[in-house]
Amino acid sequence: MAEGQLALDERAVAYVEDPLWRWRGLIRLGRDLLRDKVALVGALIVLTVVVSALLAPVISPYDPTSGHIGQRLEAPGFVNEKGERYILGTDQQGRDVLSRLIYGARVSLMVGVGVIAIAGTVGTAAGLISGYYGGRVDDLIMRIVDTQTAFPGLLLALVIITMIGPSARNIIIVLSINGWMVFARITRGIMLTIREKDYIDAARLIGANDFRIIFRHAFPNLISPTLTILTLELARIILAEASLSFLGLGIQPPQSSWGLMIADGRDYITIASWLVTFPGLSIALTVFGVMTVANWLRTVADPEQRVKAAPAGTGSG
Amino acid sequence: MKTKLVTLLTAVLLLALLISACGTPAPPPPPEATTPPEATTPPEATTPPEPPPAGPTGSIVIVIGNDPATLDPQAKDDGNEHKINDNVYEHLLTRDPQTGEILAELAESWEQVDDTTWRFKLVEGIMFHNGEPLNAEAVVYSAERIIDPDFNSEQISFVASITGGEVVDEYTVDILTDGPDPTLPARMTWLKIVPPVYSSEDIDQFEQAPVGTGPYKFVEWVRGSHVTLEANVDYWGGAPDIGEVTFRPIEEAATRLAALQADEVDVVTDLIPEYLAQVEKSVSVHGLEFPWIRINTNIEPLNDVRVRQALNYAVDKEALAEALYSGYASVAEGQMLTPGHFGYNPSVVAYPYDPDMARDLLEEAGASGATLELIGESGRWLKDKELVEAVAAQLEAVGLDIDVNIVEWSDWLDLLFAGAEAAPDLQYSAHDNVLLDADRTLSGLFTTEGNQAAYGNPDVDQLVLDGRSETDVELREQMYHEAVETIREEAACIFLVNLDNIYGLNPNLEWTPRLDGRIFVKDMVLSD
Amino acid sequence: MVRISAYFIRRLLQSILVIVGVSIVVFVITRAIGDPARMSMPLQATDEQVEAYAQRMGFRDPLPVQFWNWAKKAVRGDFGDSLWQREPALGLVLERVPATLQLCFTAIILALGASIPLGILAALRPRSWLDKLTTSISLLGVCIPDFWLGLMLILLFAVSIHLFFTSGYGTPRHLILPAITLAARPWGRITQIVRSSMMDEMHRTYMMTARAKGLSEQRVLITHALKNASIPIVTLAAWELTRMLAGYTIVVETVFAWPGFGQLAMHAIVERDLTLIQANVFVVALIVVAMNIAIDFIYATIDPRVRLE
Repeated sequence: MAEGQLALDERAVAYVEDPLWRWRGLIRLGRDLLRDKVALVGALIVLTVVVSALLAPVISPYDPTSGHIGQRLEAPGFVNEKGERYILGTDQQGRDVLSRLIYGARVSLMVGVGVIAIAGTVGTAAGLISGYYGGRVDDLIMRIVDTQTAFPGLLLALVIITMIGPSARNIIIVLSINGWMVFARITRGIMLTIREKDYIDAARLIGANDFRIIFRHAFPNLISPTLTILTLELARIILAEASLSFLGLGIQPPQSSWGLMIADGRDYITIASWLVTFPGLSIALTVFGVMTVANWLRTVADPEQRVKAAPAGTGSG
Repeated sequence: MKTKLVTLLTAVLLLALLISACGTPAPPPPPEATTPPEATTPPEATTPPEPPPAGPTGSIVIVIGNDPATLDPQAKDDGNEHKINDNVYEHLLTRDPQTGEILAELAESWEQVDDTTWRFKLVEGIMFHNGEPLNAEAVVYSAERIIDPDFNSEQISFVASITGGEVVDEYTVDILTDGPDPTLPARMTWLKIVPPVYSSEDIDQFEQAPVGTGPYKFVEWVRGSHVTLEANVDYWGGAPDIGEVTFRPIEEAATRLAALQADEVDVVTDLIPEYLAQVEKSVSVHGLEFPWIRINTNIEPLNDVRVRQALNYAVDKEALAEALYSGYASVAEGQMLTPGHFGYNPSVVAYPYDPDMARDLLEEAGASGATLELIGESGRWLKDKELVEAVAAQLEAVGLDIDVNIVEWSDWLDLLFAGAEAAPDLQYSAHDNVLLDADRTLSGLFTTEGNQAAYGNPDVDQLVLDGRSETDVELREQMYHEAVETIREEAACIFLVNLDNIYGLNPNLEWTPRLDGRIFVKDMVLSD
Repeated sequence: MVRISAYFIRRLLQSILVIVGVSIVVFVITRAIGDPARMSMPLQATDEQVEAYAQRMGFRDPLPVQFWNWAKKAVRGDFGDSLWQREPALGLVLERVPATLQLCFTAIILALGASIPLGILAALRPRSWLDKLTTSISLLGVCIPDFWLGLMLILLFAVSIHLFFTSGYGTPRHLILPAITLAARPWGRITQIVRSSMMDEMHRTYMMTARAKGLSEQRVLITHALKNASIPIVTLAAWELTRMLAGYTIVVETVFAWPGFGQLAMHAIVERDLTLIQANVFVVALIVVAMNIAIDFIYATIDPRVRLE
């Protein structure tokens, strides 16, 4: 294991010294992606979602916030007397489902990515510290994790939102506060196992400081499992935003988010299934996209898998 | 805000202190009473007992929204409890199911003796389910129990004028009021008569196992799961047709529909109108519920009557009734009363839908483009949130900037009862006046002192005050007509629609729903 | 042996700390969401009445004093009466415990039972159609909204073919649909973890050695790989079970009108029933903590190398 690691480091050094290393890496990444069809599809999905969220005002056919209740719950493909076509139908307020879906992508992605970024960073950092130092620090952090894990998140959310008011930003805060523990747990667990590994000892022996050890040597080992959890959490967070919204603790109308569209549309599930189907599908596809890309990145980034996958030294990242 | 922050900080500190003491065995042992029980076998399914061979047969399941707060019929203002106890307890008087006219129930006759005294003659020989006799003493006891300030009943506003009762003889009782109260008979259709001995002996027992005089007897309450009643074969009005009734809480609208379609339940209330096409049998009746938008009339720019009128012109009530409620609602005619309410003014009509007029009025008042906050909530009433969003869209269409905030239920309640000072610009609420007398609506919602009011007009205050104690029926009606008209002209709120009560039924069940929205199982017949 | 029991004593003490921590948080939170005196009194109560009540109940004492008085009672299981149902709050929660535990354990067993074989099969043949199918449907399990799945199952299995009940509690016919609904997410997540940890294990050198020694593929799988892969699997399953108990069941219990404490907690929160919230959180914390200890035992059983430090 340690030998493979060293070999890898040497290759990495050679890489960095190459003036074209950045470009070459990207080109290799691209070539890799083109070869992996599933990852390619995933990347395209993610790209589409991100672009449509960014360009929402340009590409959405109608104003997502204004509707006419005279044309509510019309099926996909509906054309009203003015000749306006609603490709994905209208919702319970007579608003265009497609436009709401596009604008909803903004909120859902913002919340999802925001929470992942905050909770992931805080949780991973806490787990690293906990697992690396052990002892009292570990005890303290893990007791906080235990306490919060045993505590109903909804209640915490309620109190915080009551105090700071509902908005997209505050939802991110609340869901981050509720979501960091899983990262801390996982990271700590892995940290505990790799702490004992030879190369960490070696690094310590040659006098590397804690920060360097954690980030240079331990961090790469965390990428694979953390990525898995990240993508799994993304789906959960997008849906959690829906339940907050449903209680009146979340996104406020007439703004939309995928979660809110599902929560609001669920009463009509048997008569207007498109209200729930399209946002549900959007969530599923996005998560699928993120996950396949993450899986692919994992094989690219994980040092152990890398060595295993390319023992002959043809590493490409 | 600040104190809350301090509180939180204190908590964090305390917590940190405790945790850093990790390892020192200081904390007390866990309480022995709270060890989690075994996770294994579920309790036995509750199989319905065999129906008695003759008399009432069959059983039905009625869906309620949630577990009742209590089964004490006098404590809470909780619709789930009322639906159950309406079948266990009875009142001195009742109403005609269709016209709302007041009829005899436990009292066979009644009269007003003087301004503040009403005399009721009870039907003789009625027993509570536990054998206690229904007599004048029980009536006096029931009245005094609910008005006792220490009892702190949430139903106090329904019986507000009552000061007590007096036993005249075994079956004759006087109910006393603090002043002339023409609505007293209406109040007696609300006051449930409870057994004095049983209810005072063990309040815990009484809250869990109701004992009344009604056509159904309490069997069991498994919290969160169901409440079961069985037919009272000795019922003084003749044994009911259906042998057993189970009330089951199902919160989710789509699940209720599914349960009805799967034949698991027989009566579903508050059905979403769009579902009717999928239900084999449904019945509906004009109801008493008025969703409405309260306007805080004390603040800029809403203190200008033109702005308030503009709000009313801007809302397309007919479209709301037709589109949102599939026609199972009617436009509120500039008042939150139905023709069945005493004090309904037939000459007052709704503000027509006129967005141009609304724009002009806003322009005149210099309020075009004003930003108004609209507070709503979600999940308590049929399509509550949807209605708020639809109204907001219509208000925005005339050039207002509506800032919709759907808040959590308790916050919503706090805002509703915060008083006129703290009231938000606009707040959605729903009102239903089961006493069928204008006083309740007008005094609560449109007088300076009203507990949900954000509007005050000395003229209206005076009319409502006088009307409350006016014994001349015509004069009294006139006062209410006048008050209703003023409130409409002043656009004291945004009037919306009047909802129908919609029920999904098992095809084998025969039942005509009532104007007052009550569900009396004794009126139902189950065919094979 | 001595070390193990010492470890568990230590673990027990830590658990008590967690419970105390949870109690402090819930106490402060319930104080933060509103004035308990105002909430205990009916809406029409005057300010004087509320103030008198607050004085009598000690709601105006300094917070630490209040906490101490509250904790003294809580230790004896006395959280006071629920404001909503006017019954001892702890009793109301305990009544609901069996229903939720039954639901959660059934769900996690279903999830494990379905995910382990599927994950292993997928790991055995990476990038095969079976692997791709497994990845896709387990992904679906993760991102399918639970109430949507629940309602669909109801429409399919209760309304169209009367195989199960739409809602309610009591028999296995009531239990199956909500348990499947609740199992979907953990099933998806666990399948992913089984697949990836099995794949990791199979690349390890000892697997090569075992294979080289001529042990049959299956035997290697079961005795070595699965055993080593089981730590992350158990960790995740335990995590999912914990999260279920601490709130994920709420939606499922609501959709299926399942009388568990998730539904009760939701109701307590919406009604701002302070005592019921406190009792509910306390009971959940106890269950979670007990479970965590149980999981430590499982770890030790699976893998003796796990140091019970």
